[in-house]
Amino acid sequence: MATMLNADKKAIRATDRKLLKKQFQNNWDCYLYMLPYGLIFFLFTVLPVLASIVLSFTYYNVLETPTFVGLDNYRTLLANDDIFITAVKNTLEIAVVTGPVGYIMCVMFSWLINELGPKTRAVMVTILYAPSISGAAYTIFGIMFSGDSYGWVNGTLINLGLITEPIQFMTDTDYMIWICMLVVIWMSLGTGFLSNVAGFRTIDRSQYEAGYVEGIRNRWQELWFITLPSMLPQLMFAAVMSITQSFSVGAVTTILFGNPSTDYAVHTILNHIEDYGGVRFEMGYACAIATVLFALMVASNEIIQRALRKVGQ
Amino acid sequence: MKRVFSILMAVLISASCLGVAVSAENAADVVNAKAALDGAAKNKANTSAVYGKVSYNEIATYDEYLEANSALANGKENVVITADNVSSKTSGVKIESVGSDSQYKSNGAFDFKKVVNTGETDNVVFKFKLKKAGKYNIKVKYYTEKGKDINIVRELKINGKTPYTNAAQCTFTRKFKDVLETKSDGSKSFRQDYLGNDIRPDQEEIFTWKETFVNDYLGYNNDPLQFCFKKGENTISFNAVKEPMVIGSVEIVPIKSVDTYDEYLSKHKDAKNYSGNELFIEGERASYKTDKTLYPSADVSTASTSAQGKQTSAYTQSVNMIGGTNWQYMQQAISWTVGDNVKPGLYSVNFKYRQNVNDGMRSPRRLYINDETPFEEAKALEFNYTADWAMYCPQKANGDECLVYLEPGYVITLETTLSKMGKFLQKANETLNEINSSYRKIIKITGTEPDKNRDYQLDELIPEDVENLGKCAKALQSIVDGIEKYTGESSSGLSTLNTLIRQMKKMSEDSDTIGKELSYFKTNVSSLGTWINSASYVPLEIDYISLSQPKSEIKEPEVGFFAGLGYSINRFISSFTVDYNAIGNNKAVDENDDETITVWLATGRDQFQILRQLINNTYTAQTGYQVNLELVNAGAVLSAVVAGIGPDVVLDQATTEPVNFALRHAALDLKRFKNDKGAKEGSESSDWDQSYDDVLNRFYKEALNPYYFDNVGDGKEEHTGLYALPEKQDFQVMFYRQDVLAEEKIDIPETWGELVTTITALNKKNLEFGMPVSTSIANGGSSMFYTMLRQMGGDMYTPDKKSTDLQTDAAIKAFKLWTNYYVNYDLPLSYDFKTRFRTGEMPLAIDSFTVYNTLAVSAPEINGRWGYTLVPGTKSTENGKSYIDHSTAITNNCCLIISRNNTSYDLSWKFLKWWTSTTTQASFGNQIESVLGASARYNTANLNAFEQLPWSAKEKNVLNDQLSWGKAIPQIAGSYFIDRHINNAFRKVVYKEKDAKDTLYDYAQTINAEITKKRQEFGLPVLEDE
Repeated sequence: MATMLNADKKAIRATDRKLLKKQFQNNWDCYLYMLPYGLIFFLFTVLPVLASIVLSFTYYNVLETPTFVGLDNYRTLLANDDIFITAVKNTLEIAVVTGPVGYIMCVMFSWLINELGPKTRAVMVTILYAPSISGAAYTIFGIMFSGDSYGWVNGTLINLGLITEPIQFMTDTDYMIWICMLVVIWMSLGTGFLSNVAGFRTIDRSQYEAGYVEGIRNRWQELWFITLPSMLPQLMFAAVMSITQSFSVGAVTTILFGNPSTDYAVHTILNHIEDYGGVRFEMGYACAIATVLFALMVASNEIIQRALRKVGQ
Repeated sequence: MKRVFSILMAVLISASCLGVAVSAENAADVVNAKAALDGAAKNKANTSAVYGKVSYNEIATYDEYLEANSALANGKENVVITADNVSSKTSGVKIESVGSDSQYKSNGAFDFKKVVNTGETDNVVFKFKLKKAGKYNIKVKYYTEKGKDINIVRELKINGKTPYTNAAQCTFTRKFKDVLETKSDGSKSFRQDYLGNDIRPDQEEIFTWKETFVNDYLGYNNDPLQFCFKKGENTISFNAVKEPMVIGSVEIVPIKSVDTYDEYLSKHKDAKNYSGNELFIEGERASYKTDKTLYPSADVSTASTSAQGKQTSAYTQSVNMIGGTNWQYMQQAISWTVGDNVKPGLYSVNFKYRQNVNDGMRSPRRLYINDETPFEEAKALEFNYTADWAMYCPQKANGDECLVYLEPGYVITLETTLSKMGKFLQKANETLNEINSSYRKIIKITGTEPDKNRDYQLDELIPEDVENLGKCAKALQSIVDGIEKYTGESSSGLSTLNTLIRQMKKMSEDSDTIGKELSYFKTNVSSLGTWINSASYVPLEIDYISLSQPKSEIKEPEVGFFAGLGYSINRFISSFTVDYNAIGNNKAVDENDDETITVWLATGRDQFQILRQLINNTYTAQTGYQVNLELVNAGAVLSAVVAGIGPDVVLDQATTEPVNFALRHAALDLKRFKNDKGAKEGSESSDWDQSYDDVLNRFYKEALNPYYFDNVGDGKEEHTGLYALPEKQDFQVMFYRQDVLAEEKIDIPETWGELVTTITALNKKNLEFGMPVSTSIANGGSSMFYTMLRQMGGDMYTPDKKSTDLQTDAAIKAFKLWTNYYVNYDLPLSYDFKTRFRTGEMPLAIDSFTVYNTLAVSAPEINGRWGYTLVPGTKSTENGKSYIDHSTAITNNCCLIISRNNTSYDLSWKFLKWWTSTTTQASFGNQIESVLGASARYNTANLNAFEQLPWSAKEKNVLNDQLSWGKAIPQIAGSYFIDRHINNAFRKVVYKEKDAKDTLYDYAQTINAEITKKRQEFGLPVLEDE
């Protein structure tokens, strides 16, 4: 399919509308197959994104008709909103730490699991994947890091004699970002991880034999020159998922630290959108933030994809 | 490390259950109020609150009492005490003579010339003489006067003293019946909606004479309580705890044992054994019950439940059984009358029952025939745990069935009892109190967070308490053994006890481990309390009672596999076809009708159904207007309003919402109805269809403050609109454990200054004071600050609402006071109040008054050992008169009309008037409580309705006092910034030890900037304009 679409693109560039029409006539069945999902994708993803971009140029208080304000929202956002800068800083911090760590964990765990027997593999996949399917499972961290002296972590630390007074992990700005990162990393083995596990299974065994003949000396070389390049599509997918996930951290902080958190210590861009959209009802401004976040994500995706093309080279 | 790993594993496994567990923490709500509250100054002088020294006298337990009097023989005299014997009484007690037209007039056993009428706060003392000292039972004949539909409770004193704990709350039940509809053919049945669903019948109280022995209200003792009297003159007093009571007579009767089965049979030796077809009495058609919560209900889980003789349908809801978890508390009885189709004779009586709640436990019932226990075996019918419906008949120890003599009109009654469990639970309760007192002595030395590496030498300092742990372990062990022998199996609950036993053994044998084990120990002790509580619940469902010939084959209530499968498939299909929002409607609601309004409710299904029924029975019945009531997700309101498909009226909204809607012109200004005069005097709806002013007068004046909003910003009266009406309200009181405080000789503080002394005294004993701060998740903790702020004479905002008023001296003083408790006195920032209050390590704490009901229901072991009073205050002077200001923050929920382009505003307003009216709020509150139990008491904002909820007079007085000091936090454009930044300021000062004054000042600037921004956004005048 992918190659066919590429072919389509070239054809469009090279020829005129007539040819396009002909292309469509030739491949009408492919378009028909695409239609149901394409429609849903357009209605629920493309349209909202476009609407959000349009709304970002307006003042919109949710209940009354939006009014056009030009670039006001962006001007305030970039020049006048300290909290937004904090949010970008937090988001980047979280993304930079949890993104790569999560992604490397994702690849390494799937590689390790690949080495296990089929039954153990199935069990381990379930255990590692469980945190990301079981919804708000991370709320358990709220109990673990409870500020009560009987909270799990506080209780243990007090028992060990390391501290004498409970630490307010969830409200003390010194600790919040670290706990947030821990939770995000804990949850990072998501769909990308599953696709990697599947990817490892699809590699043609004969490639390895050929590799040994060609002079592969150890498992690392095997991993770098054969395994990873053969599963580039899965790696790419996992990377995209990982980026999206680390940029869209929001629910975790709201549930664990409250929105907004103490002194905005773990305030992410997504929290900022919620704050403006849901609490202050400044939807136009929230849309401007969303647009900036969208741009950030697209850009970082591009960078990662470029970097990944270098794998095995 | 191992522990961490096991925790992680537990996380993974239990992950999916978590969402539920976390949301369940949002506990029950409740409230209060009173018409004379406005103008707090009035009750400043005479408050019913408790301060200073508290006293607590340990009362003997029933066992101790019996043992102390074991030498005393059972008495043989029979003394009837009547109104003539009253020797002293409080002013409210009336001795009334019963004329022929009196409601108390009755023949036979209840034919009294005079009765003693006692109110809900009255005490009365009777005097009588005995020829010889002895032990007796007491029998009371009383009339159930109109009250608040709850059990009548009296404290019994013999010769001026409460003999033992169980006599402190003697309970006398009432009598209720279903309200049924008479059909055209004269038969009576449950009312149905237009779709053919049975509607849960309302419960109606029957005011009548009743006769009962004085029983153990906890159910620990299966026989009537025994009382010891001396020779010569004795007194017996009835001190009111709850509800009014009319006493006809109090009889001192000899202790009599129940007939054995053989004696019973010999009494009926002339009766013939019944022969013929099996006869049925449907469980749902009970004739009387002692509690209005014992309504019949609909079981849709299986096809085998019989619905008034027919099979349960998969497509409609039929009321087909009675009981369940609402029939699990002591003293609850349900009675069925034997029909005319029953010939006099001896019957095999089989109950079709189900008890699938308490795994491994029994749900015993005491059987009465015409209010008498017929034979020994009927004292406890042992209904076992069963996943599905099963049959049970009274039987002898060897398993032979016991026949029962019945005639038409006989009344079969089943009453909750604990049977043999009672003794075990009593013992467990006593042990728990001992463990808690040892625990408090231990933490007095070690603190609640002991240093693991320190040897506290507990075996030398408090050897008797260390030894006591071992004794308690032994006592618990014998309880566990006893229960396993009684039920014949071990239940999951007992494993908690086993853990505690092991731990206590270890701690007592090697006292060095106490420090290490302490925190787990506390958890285990608290689960022992929970276990005692849950083990005293005896839920049971009854489908029908079968009367058959002796030794006949009883059909086991089983459904064939395919019939069961068919039923399930039909149920599944019906879930797509049945409109659940329409259940309970009298006719189909036409949403497009101009006279139909749409009302959204964002609470639970129970609330929805009760409201639906109330609307049908009163609102629609009286006005003829239909209401389309829909249950929605709270977050859906705004988006629906945006999309133009919103409702006309929204109920149960957070107090912050009206301003948000009003700013954006989406909420209706209720002032447009200010010329509304209401319905004419004397018309059917006049009790709720009142004038605008009367509607506003339903609430405590302060409670309306958050809903006034000035949409122009010039502060002029005509521009200030009212955008919502309060529904529920909540505020804080101070809870105290009188036993702990009395033991440690610690006073209850009346002012914040005294509180410092109290906290120091508590800390010396390693006890804690609790004052709530916002947790990591909720941002509502600033109400404590608001309380102090108002007491210091400050306020959140300047009168023109253009900025905060947090840069004043008063605000800084209040903020310093608030943070100082945490900085200098180390108050805990995060704690579980209920657990710590139960163990006594936090004997004094401020919390929402709604916690009262949770504690009363879930911590029975500390019943009578705690109370609540006003929050600490600040000394103030007004007009040269000094007083203590106990101002407290009140928060509430509200209902509002959505402003949109249609014509139903008048109807929406009518509905709001109906919903917030005294009658509606009181019936809603009462019904909520009858469905969800006392822990869910409705905290209505309607002051007169609050009076009608079942608070005892004493409880209510304190609440009314506290409410009269209530100050609602105002809401303005941008007020979401207040909570947020007050929390930030608090944390900065408490965690980072920053200067309080500077911090508050900085954050006040930030808040002001946001308020200005918001006001500009909506075109309101801002600070700089001047």
